[in-house]
Amino acid sequence: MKKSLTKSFTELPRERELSACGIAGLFNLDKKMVSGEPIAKMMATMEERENGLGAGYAAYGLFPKLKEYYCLQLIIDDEEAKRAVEEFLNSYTDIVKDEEVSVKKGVLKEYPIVWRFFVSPRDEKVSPDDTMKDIMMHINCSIKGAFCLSGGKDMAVFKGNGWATEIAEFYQIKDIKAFMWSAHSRFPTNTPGWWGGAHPFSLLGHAVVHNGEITSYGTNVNYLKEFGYECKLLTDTEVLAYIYDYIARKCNYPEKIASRIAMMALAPPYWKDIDLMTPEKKKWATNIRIAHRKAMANGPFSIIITTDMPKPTMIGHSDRKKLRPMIAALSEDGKTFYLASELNAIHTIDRNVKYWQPDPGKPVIASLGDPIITGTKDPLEGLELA
Amino acid sequence: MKMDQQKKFTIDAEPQGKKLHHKELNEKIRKAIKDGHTWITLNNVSGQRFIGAGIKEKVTIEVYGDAGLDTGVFSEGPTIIVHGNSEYLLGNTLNGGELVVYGDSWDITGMGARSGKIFVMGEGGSRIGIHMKEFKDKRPVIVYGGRVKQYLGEYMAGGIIVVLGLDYSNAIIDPKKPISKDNIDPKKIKEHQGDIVQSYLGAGIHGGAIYVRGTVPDKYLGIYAVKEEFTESDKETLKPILERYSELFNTPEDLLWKNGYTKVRPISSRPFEKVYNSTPI
Repeated sequence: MKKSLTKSFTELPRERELSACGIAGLFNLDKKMVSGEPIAKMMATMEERENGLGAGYAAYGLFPKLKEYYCLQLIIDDEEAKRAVEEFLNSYTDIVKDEEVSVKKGVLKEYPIVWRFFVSPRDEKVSPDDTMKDIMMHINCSIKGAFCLSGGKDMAVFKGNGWATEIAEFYQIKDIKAFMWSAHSRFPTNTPGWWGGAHPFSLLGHAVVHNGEITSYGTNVNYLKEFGYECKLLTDTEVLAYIYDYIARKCNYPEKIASRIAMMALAPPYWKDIDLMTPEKKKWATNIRIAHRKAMANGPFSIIITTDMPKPTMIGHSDRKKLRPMIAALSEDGKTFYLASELNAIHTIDRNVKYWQPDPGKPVIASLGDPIITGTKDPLEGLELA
Repeated sequence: MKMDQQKKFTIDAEPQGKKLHHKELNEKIRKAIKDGHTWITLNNVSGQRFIGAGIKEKVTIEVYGDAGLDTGVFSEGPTIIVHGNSEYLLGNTLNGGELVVYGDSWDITGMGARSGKIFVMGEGGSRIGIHMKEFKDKRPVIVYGGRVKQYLGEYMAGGIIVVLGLDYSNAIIDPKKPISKDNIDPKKIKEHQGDIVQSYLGAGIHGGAIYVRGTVPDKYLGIYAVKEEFTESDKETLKPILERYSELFNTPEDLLWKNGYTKVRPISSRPFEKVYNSTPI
């Protein structure tokens, strides 16, 4: 007999942690700047949801002095890649300012350069948003050694591969002040855990954090390809960001209803429910289902979308059966809006909130200056359609 | 067992401001049970999962704070009392015992429960009682004091779900204190106005019964769920359940019987028979 083994080779390893992603959002409806400390605390409370393979934070209202310029926030492998990005940006945009994003040493063993460029697109024939979208996609798909984390105005995404608490420490989230925050901690299921694949997933001023999986990914990718969106980032969340951008920004729907249409397209009501709607809403719902048929996101998901177009807005949404959790809450004074996977995350920072549970497949929307859409009535709640 | 005979033990789930991981917390609970304690109090709980998972002993676990998801999962013996809210999946595959929540509990409560009782004072989410089943004398029960959302009793194969539609928001005597039986003023319990259940009620149900206090609009019934007359035998079935509810939440029994009940049952014992191809393979 040989010496005894230190572990069993015949038994199933039982140490495996099964979990899910954690998402949270915090929005000061007075546009007052709040530190990233509470949102980081919310994520830390939901630590049991993640497995340390990706986390991130999106912050809005960061650069009041440079808010007319697009801020491209990138992770870069080396100086050579940085030069390639700079050269590329110089040929299509004017770089107004660029700077290194301050990160804390000693938190992560190894990390890339985090750099930001403030740019203004030169081409006047194409809308600046479209140019920036193409620039972001080109960098992510074609420039080796560079990845664009975000590219909106007055906002940025801070993400990486690690635990939510580590990433918060790495970017010193508690020292950053913003009026709207979203955050994510990852438990990758189908796709690799890497820096670019962490959430928030961002395009222009939109950032998406996502818990779940999009099983209709293939259909959605084909749909988006028709409109010039390249999906090459090995994460199903990218289709959500692009679908939102396409429907809410690109389709030229009236501002007031654009995001509602995008939400309905992602999780359209069943035909049985559409039949029960008022004639006007029935017409809308039918047309949205038909026009954006392939934008429907199948599979379990709960998401938080934050955007600054046309005005700062935070949306919580889920699939039609609500196979992933989502809780919404409003602080006692009605000034702070919260979204989270679990109520205890909200309770950690504010015990006196008024909270509610949105219905399956109905969006919760907080938009600056508008009454909150609670997601507990019909999917076109609050809209006067004529 | 009388209260004074209980061997009590207290665990702080957040010692020195650092939240215990669910593994550490559950290890402590199990050790306390092994040491012969019968009443375990958990303080400062903040979303730790799997509290009381798989426990077979007839002990009482009292939770102060928000219990995490999968509270009481697979458990068979304990009484778990939560003075706060519970996240989703409360009583997942419950095998026995009693879970009591003095607060709200969200989606998928009692998923696949096979026995035991779940009492929630507040509001519920969607897919409550999904795949619940029963066998002989093992008949799980879920009671919600407040309202619930879509897909209640989806694919339900057995057991009983009761929805009461009561509003306790003004009935808490001291909101600063944890909610318990003594902190509820029975005179201030109100009834929710409007519908207390939502659409796809009992969708795909093929066993068991759902009782909703008051009426249920037909448009909310899911596929193969039908309304059935509430009979004396149903009253007999509900009686012990409502008595226990009344005792737990200091709620007058008169109020619980007011407005009557709507009973929802499957259309037949095998509603999906025709959907499957019966050709032997």
